[in-house]
Amino acid sequence: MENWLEKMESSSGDEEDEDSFETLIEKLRSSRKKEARVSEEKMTMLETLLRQQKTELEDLRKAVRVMKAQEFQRKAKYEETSSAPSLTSSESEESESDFDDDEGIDTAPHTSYSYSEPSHPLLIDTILENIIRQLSLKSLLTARLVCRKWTKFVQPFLVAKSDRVILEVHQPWKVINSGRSSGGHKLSKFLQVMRGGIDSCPISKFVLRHFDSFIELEPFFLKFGPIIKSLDLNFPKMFNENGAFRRMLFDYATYIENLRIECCKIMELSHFWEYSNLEPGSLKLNCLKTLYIGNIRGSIQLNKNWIKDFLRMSPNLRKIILQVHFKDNGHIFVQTVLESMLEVSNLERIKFLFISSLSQENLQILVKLAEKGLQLKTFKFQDICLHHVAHGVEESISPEAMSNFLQTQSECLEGLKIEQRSNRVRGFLFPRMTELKHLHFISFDNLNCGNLNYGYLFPKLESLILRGYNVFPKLQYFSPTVNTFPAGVHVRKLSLPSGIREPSFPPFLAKMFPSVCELELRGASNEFLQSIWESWPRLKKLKMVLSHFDGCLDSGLTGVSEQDCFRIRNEQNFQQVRIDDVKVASSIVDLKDLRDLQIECRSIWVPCHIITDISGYLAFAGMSQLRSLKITEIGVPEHFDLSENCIKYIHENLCDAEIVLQIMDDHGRWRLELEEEEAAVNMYETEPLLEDHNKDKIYQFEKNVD
Amino acid sequence: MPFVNLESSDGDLVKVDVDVIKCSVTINALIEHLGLEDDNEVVPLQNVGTETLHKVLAWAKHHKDDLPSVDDDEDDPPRERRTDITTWDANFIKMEQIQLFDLILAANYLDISGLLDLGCKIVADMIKGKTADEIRTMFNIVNDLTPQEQEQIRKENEWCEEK
Repeated sequence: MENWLEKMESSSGDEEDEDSFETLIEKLRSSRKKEARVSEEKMTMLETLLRQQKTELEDLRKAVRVMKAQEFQRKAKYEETSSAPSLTSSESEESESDFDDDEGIDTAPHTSYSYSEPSHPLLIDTILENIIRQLSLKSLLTARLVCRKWTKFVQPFLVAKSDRVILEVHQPWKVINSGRSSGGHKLSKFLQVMRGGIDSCPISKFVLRHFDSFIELEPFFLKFGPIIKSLDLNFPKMFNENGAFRRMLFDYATYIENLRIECCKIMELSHFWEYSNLEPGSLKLNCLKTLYIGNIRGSIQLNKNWIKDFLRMSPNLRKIILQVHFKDNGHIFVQTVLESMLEVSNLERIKFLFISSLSQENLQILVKLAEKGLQLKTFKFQDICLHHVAHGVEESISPEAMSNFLQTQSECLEGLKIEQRSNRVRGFLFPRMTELKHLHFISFDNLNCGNLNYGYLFPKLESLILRGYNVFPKLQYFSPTVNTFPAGVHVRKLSLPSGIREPSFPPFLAKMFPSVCELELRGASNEFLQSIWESWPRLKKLKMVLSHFDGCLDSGLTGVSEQDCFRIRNEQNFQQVRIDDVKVASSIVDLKDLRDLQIECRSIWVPCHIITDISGYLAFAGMSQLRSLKITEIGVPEHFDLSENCIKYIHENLCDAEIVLQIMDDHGRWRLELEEEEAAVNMYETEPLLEDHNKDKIYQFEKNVD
Repeated sequence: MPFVNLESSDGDLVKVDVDVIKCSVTINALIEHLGLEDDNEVVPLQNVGTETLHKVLAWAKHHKDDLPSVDDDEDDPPRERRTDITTWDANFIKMEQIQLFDLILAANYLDISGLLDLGCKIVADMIKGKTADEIRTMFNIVNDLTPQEQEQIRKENEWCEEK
């Protein structure tokens, strides 16, 4: 195998050898296939054999256990009737040791542990597996280095958890100069390091970018094809080797589960099977579950036949994600895909549909698809990237079209997520949706879907997420007249839109949704917070997005009056203050079940001063039940609002929790992009643009692991 | 209410409400096979010491009425299944390593998934942030990897984390 690879690499630049190279590859491929088939047959045989043996063994074990117990029982009864009327411990010990002699199965009694090989708990398969399952990626990587057995056991979990490896061509111009394969340093380096092959390669997710030709990638696919679970293809426009693309999937990456395509040229071809003598449908991608066509900018002419072929050859496809960002014909792209689905059978397999562009025609086709058997579990329409401001006004979609579509899915849909900036979808009325568990609206305008009666419309609702500034009128979304109380007994996760901060509202909400244990707030006031603590004392998880518009929230968090907060802050003697002496209302510390607390403080240029040392000493440091505390200040250039001493004090007191306190600088982007009056809306509802920033700007105070 | 007598490896008998110990798949299977006409049935547990058995029963009693956990939204990005440790469990599991291991072994033998998960979670927490050497020392595990193998694993590891 190695020789083949070398030959291929050395000849790949050579024009004259092109033909022989092709035949070489062809030969190699066919021999590989044969091998694979034979070994697959062997594997299945072995597997069935193994399964048989396992069940046999299990039966035997059970039988032994039963026999033991029965024999013991007989003995005990015999002894009971013949000599002693009751069992004393010494007798039972005796009979037990008899047992050991008779059976000779169990090992030495476990009074003292030497933890030799077989009995070391961390070397017993089931236990080791359970531990490894709970490890993070970082810990998994360390665990690989502990011993052989651990290395072996970590492998499958690591493969599932490791990040995507991005293999790309860094210096494409090198091809021209050196005449060598443009496979890039990264690809050849990868192949070099992973020379152990697929058995030890801990990675299954790959991103391939900017490769001009499949020849460069063949060595990679040849070696690692079978372990590829997830593939993200981003090829330049000139990549149009349909044949190579086909080979990549059917000859090599046969076990692929997630495919994301960002190369567009291929999809313009009239057939997936073009230029091949293969029968459409003769090959299948049986493992493929998710098809993601994404991030295509600039219009492309998706060919209906191409996508149809693709849908036909993936019988287990569950998710289709169509994320197209171009403005003009996004919905036409979506429409092409939906229309091609009309001509494909077995639509029941598709459970998840995510589209980023929606038109009235799209919805009408969706209704037709439902008649043909499409029964979705989750439907998501998202036409916003939360970072970007809307571009223009689009035609809205008639309310009936949306209602009709929802009607067709009313007995199967479990998740409905609408995230829109365009406000295209509005005014529709909900049918009764018996299975709906997750209802998510992110909108920049009122959706106007009438007064929602949760108990009737969504009897199984578990999570309700409403995000938008002043676009969810309380009388519609939390109507006291149409709802009977409690309205959503199963609602466990609630995210409240910004603009709600009346202290009288949380008690009402808690009556409506009594089982909430995960809460997200956007914007708050001191009285509002105190009312929250009293209304849902059993919260487990809390996220608060606050901004400098909210002012200082120390009093709300600690239950100490604002005057006292002011006094204590001036005196600077936080550690001498006894919270019970100053506390006059409920505080966040009273949430005894709270495990996870996340606070985001956002501001434009001015320092936040939303939470200060008072909250640090009198609230956070007292929450020993916390497992995770994360406070992020965004938009503040210099230093954290909690003092160094206070941060240290929190760390000392919350030794069981994972604490992350950080500052992130968004370079005033909120300010620059927005009109003044829009600032408040965007402060709460948009996500800050941070990812392209210099990491140096993130100040992190992390607990040292010793 | 039916009872069953469990006998620890130390030979002590403990009378337990069947309802409490039904979380143990092993004991459940035994009871099913034996039938339970009579309160004097004795189930021998040769792998579980008295002290550990009492611990197991304390846990089982507290979690007797637990409901099976609910599945999360499957379409969100696969989150780690992080069932939180409750305060009660956190206090319960505070013990020496040798006792913890005994408890894990017992949970494994008795096939009590909730307790096994709890114990293993604690061990997983202990592993967090440690080096391979520290893990080996802490748990007394013999290193049977050659230096070359370790070097190879280290090189492979570099690719697993996004840079």
